[in-house]
Amino acid sequence: MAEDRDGMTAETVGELLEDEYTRSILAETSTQPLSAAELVDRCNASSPTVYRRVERLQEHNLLESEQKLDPDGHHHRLFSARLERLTIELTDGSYEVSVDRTDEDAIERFTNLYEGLR
Amino acid sequence: MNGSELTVEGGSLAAGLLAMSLAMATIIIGIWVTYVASQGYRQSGDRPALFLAAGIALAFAVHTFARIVFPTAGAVSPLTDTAAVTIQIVGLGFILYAVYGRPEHADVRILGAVMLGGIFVFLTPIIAVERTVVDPTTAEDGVNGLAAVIGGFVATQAYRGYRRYNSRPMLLLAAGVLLLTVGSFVGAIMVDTFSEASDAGVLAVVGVTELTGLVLILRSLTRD
Repeated sequence: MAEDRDGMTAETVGELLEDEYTRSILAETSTQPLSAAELVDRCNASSPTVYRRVERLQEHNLLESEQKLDPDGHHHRLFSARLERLTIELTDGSYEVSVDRTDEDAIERFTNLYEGLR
Repeated sequence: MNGSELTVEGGSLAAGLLAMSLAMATIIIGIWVTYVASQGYRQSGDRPALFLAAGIALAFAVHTFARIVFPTAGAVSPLTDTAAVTIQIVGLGFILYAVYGRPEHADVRILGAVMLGGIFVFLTPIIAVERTVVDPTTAEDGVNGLAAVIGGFVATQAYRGYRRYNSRPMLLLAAGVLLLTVGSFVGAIMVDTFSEASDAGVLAVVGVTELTGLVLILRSLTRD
């Protein structure tokens, strides 16, 4: 299995992590959930830059978002990193990527484990 | 359900041959499933995969193997059937441990609980029968029912994995587990209750159900 279920390949891993902003978004959201505005602040990036990276990370299921209700009644989204560990194995001429994600529930874990046996 | 009549009198030669080939096919598929699961573990090499593979081998392959071989070897039936189902329950426990117990963090308490549970499941009906609290058939049905409940849960989780991730292996697994646990239990009860079928008839229904389940599990573990 060269590609994991969320479309992670050795290529996407390299592509994602070589980007300075993507790296800091993951790092910042791994300590506490943050909003896009806070990410703009902490990562010294423009808001389109942050949104593009966030979208990219969510495509690969590396970032999750939750809706929060402000005291003034506004909704805003908080992001937290799901990346826990990434392993790349080179066997028989192909790269196998597997990602351990945080907050993996039983069904996700069961499916990943079982598909890993094949 | 009484397994000891398999090789004894009753039934024609054709029925005997059919039962024989059914048993052989089940054993072969069971060994195949064990082999594929162990290859899967070698490939990933981590502890959760080890428990999952061992659980699959025990709950499905070793279980059906014991079901066929123990009675044929002429041992007493309620005991052997309970032993076979206990193997299945311990195997299902391994699978649940792999999924919920975080074996990579080596939480041995849960594993210990699974083992103790297995011993408990094995001994309770035997002691109950010994003390004539219940008759052997009820005790057997009870243990089978427990396996069916746990198996039903595992099948449900696998089915939810299929629904959420559209994963074909999980659908095959769900169907296989369902047949091997709930299916064989319900099938046996149905035939036992609603028809005049002989023990050989019950065995045939259970045998076909379990063989189908094993084939589905084998299919779920192999790649296209």
